[in-house]
Amino acid sequence: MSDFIISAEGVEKTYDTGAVKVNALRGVDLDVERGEIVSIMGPSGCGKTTLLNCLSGLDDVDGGRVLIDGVVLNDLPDDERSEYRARRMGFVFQMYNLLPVLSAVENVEMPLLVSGVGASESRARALEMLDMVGLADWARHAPGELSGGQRQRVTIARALVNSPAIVWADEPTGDLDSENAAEIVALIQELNRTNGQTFVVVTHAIEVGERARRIVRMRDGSIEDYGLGAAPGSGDTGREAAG
Amino acid sequence: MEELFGLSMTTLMYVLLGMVLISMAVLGVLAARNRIMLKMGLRPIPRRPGQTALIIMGVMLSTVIMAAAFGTGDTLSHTIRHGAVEWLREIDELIVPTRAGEDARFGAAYITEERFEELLVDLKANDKIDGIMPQVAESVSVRNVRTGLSEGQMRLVGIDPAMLAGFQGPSLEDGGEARLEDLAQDGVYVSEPSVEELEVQVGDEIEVFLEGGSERLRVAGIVSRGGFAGIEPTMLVPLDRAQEMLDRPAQINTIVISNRGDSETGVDLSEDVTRDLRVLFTDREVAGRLKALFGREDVLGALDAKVAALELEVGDSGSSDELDDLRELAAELRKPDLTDELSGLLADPEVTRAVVEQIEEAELDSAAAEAYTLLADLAEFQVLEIKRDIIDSSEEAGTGVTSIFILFSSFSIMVGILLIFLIFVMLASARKSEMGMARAVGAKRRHLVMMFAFEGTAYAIVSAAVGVVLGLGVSALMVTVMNQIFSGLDESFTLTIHFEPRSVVVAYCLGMAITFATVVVSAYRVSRLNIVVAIRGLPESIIPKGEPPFRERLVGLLRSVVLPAYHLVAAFRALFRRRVREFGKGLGLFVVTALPPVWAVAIVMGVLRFIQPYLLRGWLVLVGGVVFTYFGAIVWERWSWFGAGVSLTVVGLGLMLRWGLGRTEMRDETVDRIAYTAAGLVMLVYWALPESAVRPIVGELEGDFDIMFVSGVAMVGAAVWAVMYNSDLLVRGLSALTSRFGRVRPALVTAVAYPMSSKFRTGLTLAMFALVIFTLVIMSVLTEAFTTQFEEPRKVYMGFDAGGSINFTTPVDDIHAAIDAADGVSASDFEAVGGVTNVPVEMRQSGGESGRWRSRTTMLVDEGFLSAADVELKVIADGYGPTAEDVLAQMRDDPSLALVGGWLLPNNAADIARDPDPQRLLGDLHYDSPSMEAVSLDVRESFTDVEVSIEVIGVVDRAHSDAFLVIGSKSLIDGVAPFPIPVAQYRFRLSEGVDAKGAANALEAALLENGMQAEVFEETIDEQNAAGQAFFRLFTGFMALGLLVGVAALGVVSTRAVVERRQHIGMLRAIGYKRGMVALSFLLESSFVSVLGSIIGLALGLLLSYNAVNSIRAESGIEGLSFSVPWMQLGVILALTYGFSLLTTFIPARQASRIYPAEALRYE
Repeated sequence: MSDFIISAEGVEKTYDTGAVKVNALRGVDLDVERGEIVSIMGPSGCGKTTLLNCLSGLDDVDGGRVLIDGVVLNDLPDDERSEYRARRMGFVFQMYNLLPVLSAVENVEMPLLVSGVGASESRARALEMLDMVGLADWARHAPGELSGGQRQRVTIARALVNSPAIVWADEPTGDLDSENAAEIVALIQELNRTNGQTFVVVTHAIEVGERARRIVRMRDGSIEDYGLGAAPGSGDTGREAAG
Repeated sequence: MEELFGLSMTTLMYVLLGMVLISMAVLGVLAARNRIMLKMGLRPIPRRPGQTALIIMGVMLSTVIMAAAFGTGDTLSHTIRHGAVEWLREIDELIVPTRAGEDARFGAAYITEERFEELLVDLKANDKIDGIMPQVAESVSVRNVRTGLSEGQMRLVGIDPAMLAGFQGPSLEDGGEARLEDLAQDGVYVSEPSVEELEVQVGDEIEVFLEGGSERLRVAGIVSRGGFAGIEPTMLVPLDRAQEMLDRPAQINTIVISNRGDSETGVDLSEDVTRDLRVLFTDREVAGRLKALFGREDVLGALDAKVAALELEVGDSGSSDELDDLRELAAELRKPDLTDELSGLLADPEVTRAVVEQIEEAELDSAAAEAYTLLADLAEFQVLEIKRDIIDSSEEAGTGVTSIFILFSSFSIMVGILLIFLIFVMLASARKSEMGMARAVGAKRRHLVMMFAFEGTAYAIVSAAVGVVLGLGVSALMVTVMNQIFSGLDESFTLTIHFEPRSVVVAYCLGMAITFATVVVSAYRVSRLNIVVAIRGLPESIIPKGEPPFRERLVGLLRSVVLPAYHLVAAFRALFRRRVREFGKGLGLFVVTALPPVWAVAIVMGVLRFIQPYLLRGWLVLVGGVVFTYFGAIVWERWSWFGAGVSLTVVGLGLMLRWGLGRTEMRDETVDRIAYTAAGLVMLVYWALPESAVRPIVGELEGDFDIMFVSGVAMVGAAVWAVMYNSDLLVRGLSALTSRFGRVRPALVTAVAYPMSSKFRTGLTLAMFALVIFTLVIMSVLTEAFTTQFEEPRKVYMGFDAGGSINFTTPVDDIHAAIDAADGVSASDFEAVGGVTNVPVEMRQSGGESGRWRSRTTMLVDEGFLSAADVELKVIADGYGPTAEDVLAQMRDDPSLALVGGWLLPNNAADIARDPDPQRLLGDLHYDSPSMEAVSLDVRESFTDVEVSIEVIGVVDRAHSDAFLVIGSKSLIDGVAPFPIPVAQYRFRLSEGVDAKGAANALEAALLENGMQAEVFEETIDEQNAAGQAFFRLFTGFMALGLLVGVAALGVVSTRAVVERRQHIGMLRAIGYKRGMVALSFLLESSFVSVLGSIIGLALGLLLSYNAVNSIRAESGIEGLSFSVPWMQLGVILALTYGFSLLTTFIPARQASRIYPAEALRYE
């Protein structure tokens, strides 16, 4: 079995606004190893977020296929895909996307509840996770009462609470100052080291991208650099390496 | 319909139309000058057609309710008015004798044709009269020989065909003229309604049962309804033939008058003609003595005082009929001679009643006594303004129905207004960042108000129009339902749908005005946003709310008081500086702010802004509440005002507590929770207390349906307040409860957390649901209580199972013999038979200070009745008890003993104290009296002036159907009346196992000649209950329109939520929410609001109706009135409410579930 947890093969995505057709992804191939931190970088509008959405199953692909752990994600019906996300994936977004009406711990335990974990176990694991990200004392606070950095920590705790194999992060430091951004990146690295989870991070920030094991650079819907130079022993681009 | 809540509909229309047009004109000018704001305001309307449709639906609901109420009132007015014209045609007045003649018999009084001829000369001389008809009309029993069908009480009408000038003569159903003069000796015309009863055809022989035997007549034709043929089954014959049949040779009992003009316009002269006729019939000698009496200085003084009091009451605004009449009377009394005007006024019962009441009030008792005696002898005839009265009552009925419908649906209208407010608050929050940007680039607050006003007005213009059309549709539906109800009671009465254009305009303008006002208020609220907060989408709560300094508020207040002058001065100052544009603007603002409603609103706003800090600190609310409580209890003496005062006081205390705690270290949320929960709970406890618990403190206060409205608002407000400020406890509780529900749990958690986090929005929606459910619960419980209280026929009808009325022209000689001889029934079928005749009499206290006679109907009962009746007595006079049987036994022995119906007495001592009247017929006796002394009364039979004395020795329980009559022995009057008084009704108690319906049919057949019309009391009660329940249900259904408002509110909230939470939905989908879970979460959310609202409404409604039923029972003394909950009906209401709320949320929920996660997360 291949050690690539994520494999994208000729992924295409087109947006049709009626007046204009935009080829957001033009046959992207990409493989990501288990436990790797990959950052996807590139100018605005190059298709980074679209790629992340397509790889994570948040969006449909118009061509090609996405395999996660050998499962063709885009062949799964919507409900199964949702279930798959609940069990195997975690998400971190730039705007945190926490539910403002729930407390920090309630936000964190949500993926567990969705996966059918019992209430008391969910609560215990959520508190444990908040403790791990250094927010044990803020568990009962609403997101509105937390700082930007704290909110992003809650988001990370939520993304990791169900021990996902992959964590997708879309501009996780985009809304933070440099000090908070550095803390968040350090946290991601530490979690990756401790738990061996795969992180795919879409970012503009070079200081974030540089902390990844490799940087994938995109331009106009295609990958122009797989960043394998930064990955000792790979010797090839993602796709070729897989082959 | 001419009036609404005492306001002329025409005036209302002009005022509203004026207001709407002025507002539109002002908006038009503003729109022309602020095109960008107009564009920004109107742009969203076509962009989101679904949301626009939902908003229009929400905004129109109050208009629908009002238009439906107007349409129903119009229909009722029109039908009655139109029915009156169709029924009476050219007939405008009836003249009937007030005194029995020499050949007097029981029933209608007659005059001789000779006397009529004398009158005819004067009547003909009156140029306002174009038709005079001598008539005989009596009720007789008839049988169709061919079909065997009979009609016990058919009108026999005789008119003189030679006097038909001025009247439309009877016409045949097939179009020809019914010529009475050509009828054969045995010929008769029958009216259309008779065809249904007797299945009669032309050529049929009908048998008419008369006092001396029967006569057979042949039907010569079927005449159309209306005019002399009336609307009931009627036979028409020439006058002399009717006189012959009724053994009333050369006598008539009615003179029918037609005024100049046709059937529609003749009534306009009714007032003048009636006055002329009254003058004509007045005994001038008696009138002269009355003039002398009323012209006495003391009496005139009392009259002047009354005029002065009325002038004060009417004010500068105009006059009233009563005031005009009394002024004229006072002037005429001061003239030396007895003028015709004075005679006419003296013969007007309403005028003389007012004068005599005033005389009594001035304690001129001997003058009052003399006046009563003289008035009784004043006129030989009574003039009945029959058409005028019916048309007036049609107006009253229409106005009454509309007022009641609007009053009872005022909750729904109020909820509709809340919905409009909610819609615009949400629209504003959706466009907050856009508005923030507009403000950032230089738009002023008033520009935002304008933008919303443009948008709101566009919605209002369309929704008011749609609302009126739908409202009229609803009223058409209600009219159809009402027709079904009426068809069970009176087949001949059918409502014809009719809408007055004026009502349509009023409904439209009211709808527009309400929407417009609500939009302006919400726009004003919205315009006060913080620019940065709005642009960045931050919560408003992060802005600390400071209060403007005293000086600023005071200046604002003073400026609002002199606002028009302020703008005028500004205009002239601009002119002085040669700034023409500013001058024009200032002048325009002067004109607008000088409009009284605009100025008044400005002053109110100024005052509110000035006192706002004191209101928020609570002490001013507390002071207001205490003052209100005092006035409610001591001055206005009403429960509703008192309760409102107490509620205000509690709110004031709550706010003070909040302010006090706010100065400590406590967190804001904790402070709010403590203060508002305490205030809410105390208020709930107050309103949950029965009246009896508060009465010892405040004494006796008046209460009506208004208490329902005040308590509804206060209780629901308090409950919602308490719930919303403890929402986290509720969320925690539900969380714990649902911990076992696995994957439903996350959906439930968000479903509860979202509504509880927007307290204002959720509180408003909750209050809407709770208020409407609250009213529906009360209506349902009261319907149940009032329609089930009279269940036992024997109890209601004093121990009898069936009754029958007969024509008193053909009385039964011996009822027992008649039963023995009858087929189908035998004497053994009846345990008891009693005879009854209801006679209108006048009564006064024997030896009382006033000689004032009061009209009362007396139920004269025979010995059979007294022996068999099972009467429950509430009070028995000392020495006549202790049981009701003892009382009836003594009444059999002593015919001068009598009973008084419970409904003729005041409820309790408090009622007597509130309305002290030394002239009260039975003194201080009231329904709750623990004991009584026998009361002596003088009784006078009006036709014959026969006078007797009776002794009232008991009070009849109000549970009996006859508890509004005086019950006396027939033998007492029999002994003194100049003619025999027949038994007009019989009551039958059936033996065990006898079929009541069969017995009633057999009695009708056996006593056909006497015109027996029998009824089974159980059926009568069932029919009355069915009709009562149907009306209550119709009413409840109308009020349930408010539920639509609540349901629409949920729809609006859900639709809005889908837009607002797009990103959240995307995130939830990202972490694994399936589509179904998203939809479920939305459905659970609307369920949570509707279920919680329903629970609050149900619980509070049951609590209040429990207290209401107990209080009404205690007040009215109806022991049978009991609190029972119509669970079935309530279940249906709640299930429908829930079902519809789910249905409205279904579409937004589906939309939400279809949101694609990647798209939602990208959404900004």
